Amino acid sequence: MNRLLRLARSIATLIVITLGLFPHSAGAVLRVDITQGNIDPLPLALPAFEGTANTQTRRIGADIAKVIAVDLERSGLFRMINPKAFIDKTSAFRVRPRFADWRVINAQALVSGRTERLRDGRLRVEFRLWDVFAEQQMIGMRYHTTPDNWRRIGHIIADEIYHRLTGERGYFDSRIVYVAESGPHDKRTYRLAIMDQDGENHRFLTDGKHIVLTPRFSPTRQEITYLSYFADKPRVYIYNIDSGKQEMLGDFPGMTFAPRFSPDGNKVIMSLARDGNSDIYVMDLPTRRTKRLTSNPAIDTSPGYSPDGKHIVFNSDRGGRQQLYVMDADGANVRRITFGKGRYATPVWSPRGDLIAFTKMYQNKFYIGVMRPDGTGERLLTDSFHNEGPTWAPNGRVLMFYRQTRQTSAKQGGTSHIWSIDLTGYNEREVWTPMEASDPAWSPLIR
Amino acid sequence: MRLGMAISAMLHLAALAVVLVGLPSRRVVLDRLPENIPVDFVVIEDQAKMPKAPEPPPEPVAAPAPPAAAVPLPVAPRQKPRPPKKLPKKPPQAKRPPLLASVMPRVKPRAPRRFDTSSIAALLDTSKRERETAPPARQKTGEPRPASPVRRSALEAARLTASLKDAMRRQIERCWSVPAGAREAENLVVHIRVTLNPDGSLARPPEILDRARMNRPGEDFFRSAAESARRAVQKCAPLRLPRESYDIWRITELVFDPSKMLGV
Repeated sequence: MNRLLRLARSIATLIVITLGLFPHSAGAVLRVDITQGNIDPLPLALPAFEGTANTQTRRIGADIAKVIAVDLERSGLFRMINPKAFIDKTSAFRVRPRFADWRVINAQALVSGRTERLRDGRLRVEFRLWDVFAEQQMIGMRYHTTPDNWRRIGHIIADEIYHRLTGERGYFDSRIVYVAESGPHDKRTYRLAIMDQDGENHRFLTDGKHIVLTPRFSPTRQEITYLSYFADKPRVYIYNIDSGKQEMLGDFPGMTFAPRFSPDGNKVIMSLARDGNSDIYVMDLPTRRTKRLTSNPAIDTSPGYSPDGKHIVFNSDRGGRQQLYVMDADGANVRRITFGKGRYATPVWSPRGDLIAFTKMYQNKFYIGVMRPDGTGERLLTDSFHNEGPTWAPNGRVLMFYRQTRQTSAKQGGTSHIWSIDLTGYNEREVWTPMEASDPAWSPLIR
Repeated sequence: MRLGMAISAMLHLAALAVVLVGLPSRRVVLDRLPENIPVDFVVIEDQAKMPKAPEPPPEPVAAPAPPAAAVPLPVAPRQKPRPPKKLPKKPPQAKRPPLLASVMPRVKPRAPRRFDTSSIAALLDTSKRERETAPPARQKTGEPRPASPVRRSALEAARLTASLKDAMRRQIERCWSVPAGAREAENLVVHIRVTLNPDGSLARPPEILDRARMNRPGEDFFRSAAESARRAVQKCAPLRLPRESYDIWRITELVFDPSKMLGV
């Protein structure tokens, strides 16, 4: 007992001494508030990944670094330092970097990596992200995969770097499905196409014999739901990416359109139009049972779920003009959320749940905007002759949409392409596609 | 005594257990798509064991110094990382010039204006600069200054403190890259204690006061914010501050608040 007391006393003494070493922590320390900073892209050094003796592996190392650089740079949050400025040109992966060399060229972080071909034929890729000022490793990962999968490894690493430096989940390991358009305007071909988020690995899913519109990704399975005109009947279909199988969802007496999956991927919500009236229906995929959610003489369409599956946002002209409404998932408790001037369409709930993106038509212009789910805090991010159909990146930070230019009397213009924009309204960029494009839909992270 | 040793041994064992269990042997298969080949990953965390990079050979060491002055990276090379030849499909900026913020993607045209006005305001407000330069100027004119800080008048002390804060703020703000992803920016205030040498260099690494929060799960945003604040201090050091008031700024607490910058 005595010993225990003595021990306690010596610990107490130690604490007192430790506190005594920092006399200023309690007293009047100069306190400075920093509320302004730099919002320029963060300068990052990303040398080509080191490859082992094999030239092919070395090339993959350089290509992976390129994929990472393009991903990060396109986010608008990072700037890659020109490799010509590097002082340490031989940076080996297995040794600690000479941080001073990287500080001198203003790098805030350094990515070093290495690729290696294993005996079993697999590719091993490792990387480390260094805080150049704190001289600490921020994250290090090693991946194994088949060599032809190197591009995905690049996206996965870019996601890790983005996450570690911003705190936000990345979105680079994802895909886009969209409608590829070709041919003259009076005889247009529409094909479903899919590509990686950066435009690579592009391929067509349908042959263009039938018109396709408004594809949407399943949040849980490799499935896409979309609208197709088969035998001149517009109907909602489901496409399985892996099997290539297409299937019509139910045989309704009217036309079905504007489909979207529920967050669990087990339901599809859509509009069904009959006798000039359109209402919102939901179909349970396993049982194929449908349920009608709205019954109003007005046009109710473009339904979409909140990420928790509890609410549905849709647009309706029941108030005289196209406006946005929110209701519970069972159709109860309908409330209007937009009261602004103009018309609102294509609402989509953010995967974060905090915002709804929409298309707004006002005074002959089309805007892409966001607002809170209660309709407050409307912010218009971009406007043009025709913008439409926003879709969220998996992290709810970036939006894609399509933009059509005005057609002049000389039949110039009138072309349609996909664009992306940051939630802040900055960093608007065109997304490259091999032909004209509309109706983009962003997949969840492939993982 | 034996009890003390026993406790100590137990604590050591516990620490060892934490290290063994907590360190990664994670091996996860990421993907179940047939067409997407699985990738498995492991966390690498052996940085402590890593050998240091060999000291640069004598000649290169001499060489890098002058280029450093020319380093502020020119605008032109920035395009480099996106080589137009290999990836011809990527010219996102090419087609519709009017809408594009091509060079500084995050800064829309109106942003520069904002910065302009603030700098104009700074120019107009000469009082700040006067205050700042005041102490050294007086010393030069040989006017006797009280040697001990205790004898400074309260008003003078307040004025000196204000000008020191101002000088420090303006230096640090220039070095701070605000973490851009941040959500709930109002919860991301970071306190950092900075201990400086008389020449304005760091006497020790800047201390993030809420270190524990950095490593808590779900605090990724705070961690990014805290690290960006720490980098700002390290990037800015040595700070340029009047040496005669060293006793005031030797230890400073910087409060980084990104909420005004991230209006999202």
